[in-house]
Amino acid sequence: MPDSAPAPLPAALFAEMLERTQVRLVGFARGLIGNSEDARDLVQDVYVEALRQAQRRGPPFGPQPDPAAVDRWLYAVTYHRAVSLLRHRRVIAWQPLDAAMPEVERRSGSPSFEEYVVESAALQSALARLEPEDAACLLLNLVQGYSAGEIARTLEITPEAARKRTSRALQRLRVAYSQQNPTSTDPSSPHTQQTAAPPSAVQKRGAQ
Amino acid sequence: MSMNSHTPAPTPTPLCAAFEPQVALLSSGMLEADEAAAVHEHLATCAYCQLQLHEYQRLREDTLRLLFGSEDMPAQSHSNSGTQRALNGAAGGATLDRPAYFTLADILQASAEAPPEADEPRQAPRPPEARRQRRLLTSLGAIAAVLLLAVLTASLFSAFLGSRSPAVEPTPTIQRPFVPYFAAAPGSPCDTNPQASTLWSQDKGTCLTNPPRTRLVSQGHLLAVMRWDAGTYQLPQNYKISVQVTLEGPTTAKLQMDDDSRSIGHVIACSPNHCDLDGQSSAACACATSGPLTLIISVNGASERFYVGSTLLGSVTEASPLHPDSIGLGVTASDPSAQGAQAVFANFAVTAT
Repeated sequence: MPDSAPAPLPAALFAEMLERTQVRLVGFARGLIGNSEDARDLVQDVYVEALRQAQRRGPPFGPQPDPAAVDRWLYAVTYHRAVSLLRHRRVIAWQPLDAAMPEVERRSGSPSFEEYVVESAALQSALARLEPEDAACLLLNLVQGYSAGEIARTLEITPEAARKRTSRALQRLRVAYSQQNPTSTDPSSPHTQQTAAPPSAVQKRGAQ
Repeated sequence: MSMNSHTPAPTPTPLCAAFEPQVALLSSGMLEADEAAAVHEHLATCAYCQLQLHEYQRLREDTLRLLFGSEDMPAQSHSNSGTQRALNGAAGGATLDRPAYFTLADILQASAEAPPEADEPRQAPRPPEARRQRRLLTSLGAIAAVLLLAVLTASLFSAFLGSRSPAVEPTPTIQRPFVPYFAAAPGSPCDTNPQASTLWSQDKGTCLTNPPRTRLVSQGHLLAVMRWDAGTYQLPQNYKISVQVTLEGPTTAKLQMDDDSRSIGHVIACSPNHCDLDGQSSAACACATSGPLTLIISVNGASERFYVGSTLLGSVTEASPLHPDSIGLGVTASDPSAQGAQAVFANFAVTAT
């Protein structure tokens, strides 16, 4: 008797996808939500969702999964979950009682560690000031090397919007980064104030 | 990254502002060929935009370094760096040199543990300690499953035997010995009993675990942020529950003690320039917003006293000594649209007195 249920995705294929995508996906999530632990947790949940989708053979995990489509699906789900998480951070958040410690793993003997810590904290703070949509466009280009068209398909926006958002994100990130870490970029840029993120954007993504 | 102070900074030309969006995108590969050519033509004669381009490139590298952690800090040539690999790594390019975060077994076990169709992003963010614990539990999931199966089997077997026994004594709830509980912020052990939701203003609430050295910041609608599972402890006759709260904006913070079996529920509510006990205003009390306040419920046998700081809000004497089922903490913004209203909880403690 023929079995009407679709055959589940072979484990080896899922494992290959996991291996191929996870580091960048965690990096993408970290850029959006600004916390490594949250990012790993969020991406784990994305993979659980992917596994269930793959077991159902739902798109994009069809008979012959297209890796590019799978990647886009993963980034889209990660983005939407990150946005949801950011909304909830406006209600409850844990704040360290100690002075803010950047989330980097200390490596003894690294001569530039202190500089790296300062810059990382400044950059993380600057990233948090971007609108999530802008940050997602920038991060998809940075982390995954996506073109405007691929970003557009992932986030369901137009390619022109993807380009504008990426450019805007870079300009605002540069301004915010230079404000947080004055040695990082040229603070004397006459464009600095023109491209600064509006206060609403700061409130929108800033953790409490 | 800093500029040489002896070199005068290049000044922008009138065209620079128009080119900046394209200069920002030049390293992204998102410009059309003709656009890129135009930008390169401008760059050839504009020192200012050359500097901007350098800074955008540097920003991209710094961002990638941040995202992928110190392991990928480029130490030598950029062409072999992790950041550059990431930049070049689209469409099946080289992988980053990082250990994997998850294995297929991890995901399978996480899937088995997660509820079907769970929409976890709608939950409050789990604190780091809880997450680490979760991942540890994930790795122990198989062992736990076997143990659970064994326990269930044993339960079923004993139930079968019990049906043939003339009398089966219900298993009494074993209360753990009380030890003083301190947390930097409200936290575990949290009451996960679904019935507890009815004890806290009909709000479902959220169980949280308090990471070390953290404080809890909460804002928004009424929300039980913590219920300490007091019913599982052998509380002493005399004890004190206290929490430090800082109010910022039009927020009300609450400390509540419940005893479901006796329909007792007392709450200290503290809002800017006002505080009350069980809905009754206390004229002598004012919850300032300038600094932290301490909410205290002090229990001596059957007698309870309620304080905000050193101000006594009131007292209640019950018929018998109090062993509350739960102790809750919550916050509500008086205006849901209020921006910036929040309560910060810290130094939660349950101690014998």
